[in-house]
Parts: sequence; C-alpha cells; structure tokens
Amino acid sequence: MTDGHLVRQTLAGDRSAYEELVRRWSARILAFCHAKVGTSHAAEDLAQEALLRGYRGLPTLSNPEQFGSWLHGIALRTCLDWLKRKENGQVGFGAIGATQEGVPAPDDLPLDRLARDEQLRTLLAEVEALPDECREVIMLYYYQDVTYQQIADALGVSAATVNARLTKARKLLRQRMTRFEMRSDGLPASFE
Amino acid sequence: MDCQQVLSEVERLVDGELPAAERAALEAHLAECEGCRAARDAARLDDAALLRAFLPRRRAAAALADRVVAELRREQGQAPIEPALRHRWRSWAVPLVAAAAGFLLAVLVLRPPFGRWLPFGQQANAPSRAALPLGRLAVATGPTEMRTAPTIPWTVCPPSGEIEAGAAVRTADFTRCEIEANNGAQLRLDAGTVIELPTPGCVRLSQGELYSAIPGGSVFKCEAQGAVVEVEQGKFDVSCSPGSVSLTVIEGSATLECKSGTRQVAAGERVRLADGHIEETAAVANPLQDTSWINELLVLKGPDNPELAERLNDILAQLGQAKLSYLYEDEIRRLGSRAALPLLRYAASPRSRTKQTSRAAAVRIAADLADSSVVGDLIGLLDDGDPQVRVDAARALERLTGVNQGRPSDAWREDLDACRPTVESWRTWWHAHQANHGRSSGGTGR
Repeated sequence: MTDGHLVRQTLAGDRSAYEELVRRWSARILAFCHAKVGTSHAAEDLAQEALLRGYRGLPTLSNPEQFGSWLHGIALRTCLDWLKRKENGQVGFGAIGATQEGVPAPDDLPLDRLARDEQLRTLLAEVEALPDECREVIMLYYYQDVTYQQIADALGVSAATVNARLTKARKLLRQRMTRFEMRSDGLPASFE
Repeated sequence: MDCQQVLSEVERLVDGELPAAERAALEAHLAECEGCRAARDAARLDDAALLRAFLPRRRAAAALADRVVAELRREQGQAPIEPALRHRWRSWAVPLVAAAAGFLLAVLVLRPPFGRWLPFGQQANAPSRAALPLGRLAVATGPTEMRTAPTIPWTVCPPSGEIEAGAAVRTADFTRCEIEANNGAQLRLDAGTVIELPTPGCVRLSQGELYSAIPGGSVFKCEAQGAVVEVEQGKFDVSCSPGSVSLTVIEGSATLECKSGTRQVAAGERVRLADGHIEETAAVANPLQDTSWINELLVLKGPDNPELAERLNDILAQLGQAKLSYLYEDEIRRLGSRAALPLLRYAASPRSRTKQTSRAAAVRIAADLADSSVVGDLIGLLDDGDPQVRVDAARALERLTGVNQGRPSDAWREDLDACRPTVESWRTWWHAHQANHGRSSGGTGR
C-alpha cells in the first residue's frame, strides 16, 4: 500500500493507517534529525515531535503521494527551530551533550565485548562528526534498510549523488580511524 | 572491466545497488583479481562495522515508533501501547511459536496408526446394554472409566464403548477423552475430570474441566456446583474446583443461572463464580488458546478434521498478527519465506477482517517472501474484496509459477467480477498442480 493510500485512509478517519506511516518512516526521520542536530538524544525528541506534527498537519498535505518528502520538510523545520533555540541558549545542556549513548555499556559484560562496544561507540561518534552531507547519507543508509533511490528521494538529489556521498563518507571514516582493521567476524578490531 | 572501474563500483556492489549485468561483469573480474577481491572484502567489513554500530540506533527508531503510536492513541483517548510491550512479545510469542511447532509436530508425529487410543491390558467389563446408549467414547489419550450407578465399581471404558444415560465418566490425572453423544454434541473431558450424564441433554460436572460443542436442535444443560449453563448451539468450557466454577463461551452464547441470578454470556466472555455467586466477568482474548488442552484430542482424531485445521490456522494467524504488531517490516522481511505462511493465514483469518491496513501489509510482505509452498494460500486470496490484495497475490503467483493465466498482476485491480474467470482458471490449475507444491495443504486454493 502506498503512502498516498495510507494518507487518504488516515484523513478518512482510520488512525491505524497513520500508525503504519509512523512505522514506515520513523527510522528515516530519526536518522534525518540525528544527522541535522548531531546528537541522538535530541534527535529522538525532535523526530517524535515531527511525526506528531505530521499527523496534526496532514489535512494540509496537498499531494498524499509526497508524504515522505513533506514529512522530511517538517522534520527539517523542527530541527532548525531546535538549533536556533540552542544557539540562543534555550536548550538544556543534557540534550546537547548526549552524543555517544547509542551503544549501551552494561557493566556486567566481558572485557572484550566492552572494548568492542567502545569501538563501535567511537565509530558512531566519528559518523556524527562527519561533514553534514556525508553524515546525512550515512545515517539515512544505516538507520534502516533503504536503497540509494529512497535516500535520493528524501534528500531531493540523484541516486548517483547518494552513491558519491556514501563513498566519500566511508573514505573519511577510514581516514579518521588510525586503524580501521576488521576482525574476521566482521567487527572492527580497533577504532582508536 | 579494469581494476580502476571495479574499485569505483565495489561499494555499490556491497550495497546491492548494481544492476544484474554490471554485477556479473564485476564479479567475473573479482574472480580473477586478488587485489580487487581484497578491496571488496574490506568494503564488506566496513559495511558490517557500520551496521553493527547502528544497531542500537535502529532499536531506538523502533522504540520511537512505539512512542509516537502510543502518543497518538493517548491523544485520542484510546488505550496506549505499553512501551515494554514491544519487547515483551517474545515472552508470549515464543511459547506461541513453541505451541504451534509442538502442535504441528504432534499432528505429524504423534498421530497413532489407528487414529484412537487402544487400551493396554484389560478391555474391562463392557457396560451393561440394558440402559439406553447416550453416546460413545470417541477418543481418549489413556484409560477412561465409567460406572452406571454409584454403587457399581468404576470400569475402564473400551474405545468406542457406549456410554449409557445415567452413567458417570471420569478421566485419570493424565488422560483426556471425548464423548460423542448421539445428538451430535461433543463432550471433551480434561485430565482429572468427573461428569455424570443423567439424560442425553444434560451433563453434571463435579470436578475438572469440560469442553462442550453443541450442534443445535435442542437445549443442552451443564450443571456445576448448583450453577446451570444452558446452550442451544455453540461451544463452551466449564471448569470446576472446590468452591469455584468458571464458564468460558467460545462460540454462540450461553444462559447462566446461579445465585447471582440469570445472565447471558456471549462468545469471548468468561464468568467466574465463587460459591455460586458471580465474582468476575472478563473478556477472553484468545479462547482457542485458552482451551488448547483439547488439541491433544483433535490430533487423535486425525489431521483431516476441520477443527484441527481451524486451530492450526488460528495459531499461524496469531503468529502473523504478532509479527505485524511487534516487528517492523524490515525485521519481518529478514525472517524470509518462513514468515509468509503466518502472514497469509492472518490475512485469511477473521482476526484481520476489520484491519484493512495491516491485512494489506501482511499480503504485500508475504507476496515478496513467499515460496512455492504457499501457492494454495495465494490462490485463495485472488477473489479477495481488496484489489490491492488481489494484485499482490497475483504478483507472487506469477513469480512463483511463471504463469499468470492471461491476467497480469496489475489487471487484478479491475472489478472483482471481471477477475472471476481467471480465479477459476487458477483453481483449475491448482487442482492439476497441487501435488508439486509441498506444504500448503492448509491453504484453501478455494
């Protein structure tokens, strides 16, 4: 069922159709917000706000098939508002500082796993530190299983551009790791 | 293709973005070039590391969706989704999966060669033929005893042995049985149950649990600790322990008479009595699962009985529903073809009747994941009222069978009446080819 179908069903009173849209788009919107504001904690709040704003503003959507790009527009405005408030000192310190909480660090794990998780946290931090365009495509690509074309549609660029930005992002990540060797099980040996 | 070209495309290859022709050319080069293979392997490892690093973020995205859905429901005054529910599903879905697997296993493995239990050892004293037979012992998982009067000793009832009016029947702590009454009623006794059958239309439960299926035609009465349940047609379950009686109506409705008065109990309701008074009334979310103890008897009746198929389909439908409710689409897709059958049975079950969105999603995902074992289920959806369901089912059928009976998948959007001749073509085709498509025996192919 297309996004357009679901939008029309929502507008006809079937709220469960919007729930389907939420499940379909939440990862991409969260990735987008994370890329825009650079912190995952704040991104979750902002993505939630954007998805709820989307529901309330649905009657204003003129082309239901364009739901995805319309929702990204809402997410963008939500993030820009937040960044502006942050610049003006209106955002709490906790929301700004939380950047590397992605991989939980339980205190009862064996040391090698802790080390591995630490490496993965470092990698995620490096992703957050990438230039905007690179960070955006990496996050959109790895938050959910999507194609280049789906990312391209969300960003309003071509699939070739997405490919080029992903390649550049991965190259930068390799350069930023002093050692980017991988273990045989597909996990990084070190991300110092 | 030279090394430079290959290296520039390695990431697209790893990301699965290369068209088939380019992929073949690139892989041909990789087969010959160790250096490029090393670059490809490095790209794969980078990709795996990033996927791993993003795993918690993916979980956060799933939790975010739950929160937003809960917020939407809260705003509209509906019951919110409990945040922990998504994670909790495993705690019941795993037993559910186990139940389904165990049930299937029982059907396939435990079915006795002769369909019914044969008593080991004594064939016992056949009941007296003097009284009017009320029914017979249809199946039992072990020894079932009967006596015709309180002063007569209990004797083991043989398979298919007649049960007389006025008799009492009891099951041992490890035995379940079914009595088939001459009026068509089915009485199933759980382990450790004692009943009396004073007349053909009445049963008295003094301990244990009794499941009754009443075909209609006359009122059937069940008495337990002074409470009386009357049913004209339907299925209900009564369990009885000292001081407590519980009535669950599975199909139809029942009239309950007790110290609290008389009241109707509808399908899906459970009433609990304490000392003859109504103590609690509750909705039963899953009556088939709540009475799963009868599954053992259904298995003994053979794999072809429709009640067994109904329960099996419902278990599969629940699995499909659980997948849609608690997993995200990409997670379901990662389960591969094994997810297709539960999703299709969910789409075909009454559980999805009022849930058009999730039903359509189930068929859409199943259409992508299906293998040839569910062809019968897919054909069963071709006359569905939802055009998108028909399109998705037809798309999968064309992919799996290589034929479309002259109607491309998009053409299934047309009016259902226009599609019907092709539905018939598919059914004819199915009758001719069914044997080539593994399982799917539960699929209707209607």
